[in-house]
Amino acid sequence: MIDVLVIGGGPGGLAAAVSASKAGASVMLLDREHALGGILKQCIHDGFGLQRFHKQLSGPSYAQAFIDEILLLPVDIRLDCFVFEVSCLEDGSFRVLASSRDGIIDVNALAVVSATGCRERTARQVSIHGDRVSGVFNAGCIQNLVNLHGYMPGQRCAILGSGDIGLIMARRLTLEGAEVVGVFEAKKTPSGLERNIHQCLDDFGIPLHLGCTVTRTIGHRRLEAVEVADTDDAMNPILSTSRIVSVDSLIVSVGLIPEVELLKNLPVKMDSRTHGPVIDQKGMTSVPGLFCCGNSSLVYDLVDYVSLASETAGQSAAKWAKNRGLARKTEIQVHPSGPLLFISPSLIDMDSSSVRFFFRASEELEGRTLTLCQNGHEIFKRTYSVLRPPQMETFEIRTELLDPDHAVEASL
Amino acid sequence: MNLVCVNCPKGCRLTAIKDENGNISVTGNSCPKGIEFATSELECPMRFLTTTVALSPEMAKRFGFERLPVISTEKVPRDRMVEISLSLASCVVSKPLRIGETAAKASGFIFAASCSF
Repeated sequence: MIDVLVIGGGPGGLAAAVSASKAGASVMLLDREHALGGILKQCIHDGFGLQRFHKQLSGPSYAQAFIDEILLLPVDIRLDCFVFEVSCLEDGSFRVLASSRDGIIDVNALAVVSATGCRERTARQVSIHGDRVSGVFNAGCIQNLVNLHGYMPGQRCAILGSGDIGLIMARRLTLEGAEVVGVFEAKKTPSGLERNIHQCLDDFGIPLHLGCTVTRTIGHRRLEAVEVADTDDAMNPILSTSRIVSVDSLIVSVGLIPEVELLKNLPVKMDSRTHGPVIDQKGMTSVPGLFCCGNSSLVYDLVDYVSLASETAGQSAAKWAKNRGLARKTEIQVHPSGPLLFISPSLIDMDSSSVRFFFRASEELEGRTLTLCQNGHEIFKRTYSVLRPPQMETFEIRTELLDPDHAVEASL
Repeated sequence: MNLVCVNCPKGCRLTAIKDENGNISVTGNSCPKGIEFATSELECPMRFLTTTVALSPEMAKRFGFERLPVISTEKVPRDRMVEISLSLASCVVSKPLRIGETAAKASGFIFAASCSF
């Protein structure tokens, strides 16, 4: 029996495994790829680690710091292992099945940390009509092909969606000699961080077309052009504005969703706002002993926050394994209202001394105040000079300020 | 001149004005780095350049991938980024490296490995 089994060797899984091991737990980490680091392996650009290391690191360098640390700890790391089933046993422990080069791995663990990252929304999820041609890629897929394997998708690219990965790939493809004809964003405001608009698009003169979307793919076998159209306030294309843009590749960057496939046959409650499981501030889901952290719990904007939250999840999983059977005593719910895309955690475990919240606004707002109230009584408030959906905000409060008998109303 | 500071994810919106004596005044920044950034943007915008270099077949097998991520050891002029990036096309790494070790030199700039392999 293992104390803590961690699924995923990206930034979330690495931080969770390191902290669980340091807390004295026996830890096994499984990853489906051949090398640790998860998505950071292909995020070769810099800008990671400002919060944690106080300097700008590239993705691989950020991951290396954790890889160097985990290799010094007694963590049983298994690579090329694909976890395909997690089940809950009668005694409250977990059975995890994975396929590996040596056959099926069948392990028993007291606590499981799911750190499986997130997935990209695809072109099929945003209703692009037209020919089913090659040359339509997800931004993360292109990032992998270009940065790790040295393949170029094409020479003349259009990018749909202004998410950060799309912006970063616009710059990356330009640096590799391709022409990026433009980034098309159906919304009136960009989805990516301000600085990425500046350093990935403006620096290279790549046009950003706000309120404009790709409506059709055109080509015979290979993409030859896309049809684009301006959008109305409801983000629907205005057909009279349609025009044809000649490209050989379309890169789609239209959002990320937590990867929760493995949790589907467990009685895990889901959070409709984060699209991840309902978790408390320690990352514990509604299944006792099952933790979820990193982008598989909610999509973060900064890896530094992923590390922070995952360390807490790892420590808590180690503690759970040690004090087996001690269920959460008191928990209170958090109810969001107003223009909040989400606030996490949506459950507070009153046994912990503090709770760190993460939230995003659903629209750009100036001078707005976030308040936490219980039964009409104000617990916390903070005014933000500016809030933008791409940027996550975080704050911490002590649980002793909270009344265990009432839900927390979070309003913006 | 209106700018967005790229030093951190906050992305402060800066206004930089150069008067007739060549003095630069900056507003909108929330830390000293903003002033430094805006001044550099008016003079000669500089960026770290991250890209990849080829690995020899033997090294690719060791690393697990065909390309090695690298970062310039100092900032390069923004307007030369594409040219410098393309000039790395002929570089091949044929020995194992630790993070931070020199992987390639091109156009007078040094590029260090972003990870160990």
